[in-house]
Amino acid sequence: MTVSKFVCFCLVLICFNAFNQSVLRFVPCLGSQAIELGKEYTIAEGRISFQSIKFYVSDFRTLTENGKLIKHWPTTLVNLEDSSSQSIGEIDSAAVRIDFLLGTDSLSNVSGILEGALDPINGMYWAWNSGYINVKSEGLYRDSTGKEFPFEFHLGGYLAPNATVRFLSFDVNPQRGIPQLVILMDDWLTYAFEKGIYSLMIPGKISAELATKVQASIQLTYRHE
Amino acid sequence: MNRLIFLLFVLISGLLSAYRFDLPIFKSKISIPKKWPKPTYDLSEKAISEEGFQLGRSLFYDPMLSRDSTISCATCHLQYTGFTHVDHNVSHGIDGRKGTRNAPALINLAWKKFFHWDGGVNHIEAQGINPLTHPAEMDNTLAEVIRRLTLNDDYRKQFQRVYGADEITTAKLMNALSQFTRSLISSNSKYDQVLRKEKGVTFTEQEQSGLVIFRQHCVSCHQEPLFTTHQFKSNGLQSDPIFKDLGRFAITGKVVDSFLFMIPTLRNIEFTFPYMHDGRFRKLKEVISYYSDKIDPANSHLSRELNGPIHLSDKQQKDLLAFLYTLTDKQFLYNPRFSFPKK
Repeated sequence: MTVSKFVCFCLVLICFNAFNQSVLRFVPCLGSQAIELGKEYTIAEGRISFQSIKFYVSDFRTLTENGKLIKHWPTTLVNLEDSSSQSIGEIDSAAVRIDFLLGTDSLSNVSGILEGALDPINGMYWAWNSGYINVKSEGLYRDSTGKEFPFEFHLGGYLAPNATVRFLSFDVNPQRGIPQLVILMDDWLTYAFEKGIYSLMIPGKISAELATKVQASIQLTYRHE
Repeated sequence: MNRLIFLLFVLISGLLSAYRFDLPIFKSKISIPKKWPKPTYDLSEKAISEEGFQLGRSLFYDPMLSRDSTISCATCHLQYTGFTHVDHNVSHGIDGRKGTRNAPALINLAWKKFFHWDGGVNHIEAQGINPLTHPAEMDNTLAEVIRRLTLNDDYRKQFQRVYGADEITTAKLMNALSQFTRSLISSNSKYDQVLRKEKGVTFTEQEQSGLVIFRQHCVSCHQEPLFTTHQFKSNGLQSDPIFKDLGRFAITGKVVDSFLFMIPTLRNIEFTFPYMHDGRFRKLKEVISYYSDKIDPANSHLSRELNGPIHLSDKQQKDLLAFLYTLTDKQFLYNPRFSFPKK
């Protein structure tokens, strides 16, 4: 093979891979708008802005049609302050299913101090009641009368019956576009606000309930570039 | 099925190892006292190195870890008093701010599964984050502590020696601290020496009588040889009107856990005053007097171990006190290996 043929071969290979793999992102949204921290949005006849949105994604896996594992990703912390953290990785064209845990598994919560994404320095660890905050959302909600409600949701807790880690699984078809996992923040925040809950910093029944709401608010969609 | 469980274990261990570091192997000086139960935490030389112990010791005594560099772990955990804050019902940390609970003694921690009076901390390495970041204790942030340590050449060298790399992380910091705190073993009191039948060491008649009383009335919660079961119990104390401390309930949210606190060890109890989770009793004889005659049997939270009346005579109370004094381990309290590291 001549050098020029080899270069051509490599280019074809790269293009082939580019068309056959797409980077999956987590996108927290309000309605159809991707959320930007600090920007104000309309929600439930009020206005809302976010200071922080962070959550853990564990055991993210892609699977073939016959259930064979294609790829497994280590625990990652999605943090809206760092848009690169929203990208999980490339989804192979052979993948027909993805599944993952929203949050951290129970073993991570009882194994002392871990490193990387699970380092408590990331502000997602409760010292007083050992364990990870699986989902964090902070900001300001202003109702239709203009009254302000700062909100802080730290959803965590690994012990039954109020564990907050949630399993999600989606059929995926990379031929339809670039898959993305949209979190409809208004779905679960409106639910909390309607109950008069604006701050939650402890594990328990309400945390577990809201974790289920967050789980239900996640949808797989496709984008086209 | 067993094979499946084994494979699952290997997989999970493998995944977790990605988030941990490997410890270089050095010689350890720790030996587990004979006839003691197996510790919760590894005390072998694989887990505790001499260099790791010394690094943990330096960190334990270093006020640089607090926001304004005035408070170290040792501020509230003094060696000579069983690593507790003697004469303080609750400790004061940075800027004189007060906590809400009596600083627990740091004795035989390697046998504990949970930490703090309410058991909210589930791992010895996770415990250290609390005093470092609590606004009434050292009021610092992990990022700032790591930054300061990283700027310190001596610490960087020590971390390099212990962990094979000078990058300082939260996990390494907490592991180093726990190498020191795991090593705080007290097992050489007069009580231990008598049980080991050491030559020339015997209980006095009064101490022996106290031991009998102890085994009759106290041992169900303060089980030998650790003198605690580490369970959560209510001894019937009324909630402090200022702190309104609900104990274990704050962690589990279960009503049945209301006013339960972890049973403390009685080792070195002579020096760990004041007593109880809020330090309400200044003298040990007040504690004995409370258990003897002042428990309210109508208290609905009272643990079943205290359901029956104890009622000790004055002589019995003095005998029990004499026995409790035999739990003092001066070798532990004055061991230079655990004291401020002089350079």
